[in-house]
Parts: sequence; C-alpha cells; structure tokens
Amino acid sequence: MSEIGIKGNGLTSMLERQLLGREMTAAKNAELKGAPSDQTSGSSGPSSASFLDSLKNAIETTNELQKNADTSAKNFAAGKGSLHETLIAMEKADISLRTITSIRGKLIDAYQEVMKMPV
Amino acid sequence: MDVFKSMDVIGSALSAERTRLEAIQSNVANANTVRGVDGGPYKRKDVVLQSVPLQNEFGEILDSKDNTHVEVEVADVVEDQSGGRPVYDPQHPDANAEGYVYFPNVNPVEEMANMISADRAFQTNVNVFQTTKQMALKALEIGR
Repeated sequence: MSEIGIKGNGLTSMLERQLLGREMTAAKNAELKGAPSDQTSGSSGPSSASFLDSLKNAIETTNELQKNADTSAKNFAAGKGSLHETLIAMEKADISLRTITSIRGKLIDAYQEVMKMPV
Repeated sequence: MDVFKSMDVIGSALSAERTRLEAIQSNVANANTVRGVDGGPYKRKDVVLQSVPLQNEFGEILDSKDNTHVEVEVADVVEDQSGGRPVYDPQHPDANAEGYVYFPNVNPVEEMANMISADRAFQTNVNVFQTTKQMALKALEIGR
C-alpha cells in the first residue's frame, strides 16, 4: 500500500502530529483569549486523555493493518500465502483507513466548529 | 473491530473450500493412476472440516463468550479406503495373477458434483464477504 505514501510509522505519526498540533494551537488560542490555563489542562484530564489513547490505539490498529496488507501482498508476490488472504488483508486495511479518515474528518469539523464560536 | 472478526471467519471458510477443491484436483488428476504413493492404486482423498472458535495468530481463543464467530478449519484429509475398480488387462505390467489391474476408487462424475459444490460454497462465502464489506462502508456513510 505504499502508493498512498504510508510507510512504517508514517500514518501514525502523521495523524498524531496533526491532532496534537491542533490541540496545542487550541490551547494556545485559549490562553491568548485569556482563558485560565489550568482549565485547559483540566479539560485534557483523564476523560480526554483516554479518548486520545483510544484514538491512538485505533490509529495503531489501522497502521498495523496497512502493514499486514503490505506484507501479505509482498508474500503473495513471492509465491507465499493465498490469494484470498491477501485480498482480505487489503480490504481490512481499506476499511480501517476509511474509518480513521472519517473520524479525523469529524474531529476536525468539531474543532473548526468550536473555533468559529464567537467568545 | 467486529467486522474484521467476520472477515477472518469468511477467510477460514475460503481456505477450507480451497482445500476441498485441491483434494478434488488430486482425485481427478489421479483418476487413472494405478501406482499410488504407497504402492497400490491411488486412493480417493476427502477433506474433513471442523469448526473452531475464533483464534488470534498465537492460537489463543479471543473471546470465550463470543459464540457468533466460529471459524472452520480442515481437521484431516482422509483416504477413501473402498476397493479400487478392477479392469481385466493381462498385458498391463501391474496386472495380478488373474490378469486384473486395480484402478483408483475415483468416480469422475462424483468428483464433478463435489467440485461444483466446493465452487458454489466458495462463491457464497465471497458474496458474504462483499455484503459484510458493503455493510461496513454503509455504516461509515452515517457520519457523512
């Protein structure tokens, strides 16, 4: 699946960076607007951290499935493994990538919605 | 994710049907083989399937309470021990004292019927896979 430019940990770190970057800008913006900084750190307490964890988990799974699809395609090309197993691995990678993309889209939508909010 | 468990189950079924077809391939290929691997005429092969709870790649059962996802695996490939088909041919190098040669117990008509059965089962499983995938993609459309 290297044609979509995902190699090794590329996908994980890319999405993580995007999300963390957004979180940081959000925190910075909130600080600039005079919101108390302990409130921002409070909002990223246990509940939001666990959400971030599960998100990271989902990204890891997606990345793992992408790598699996890659390996099984390579194995198939090398004459190992069966055709249907290769295609199933690819479908799994496809579905998980679509899922994570739509979650990302939703998160960014929500972020933009919040940023548009007049204070 | 649950959808991936379903895909693993379907994958196991596809592997099983492929193994069935492979046994049929050997049977048809050796329908006239008088010298099998262990000396006598080739013996018809048959696949025994068994169901197993879904396991991870280390052979551990994922969820003992989950009885929806049950995989299928090839338990054994057995040889049909019924006698071969005697053909009177005294000129044949493998003919016995009475002049009979024993041909394999493979019936090509039966093998064809089994082949169609394995093929249809494979196709059905592929259809199930496609439906599973379409349902997952449809579920993603909820967010759009």
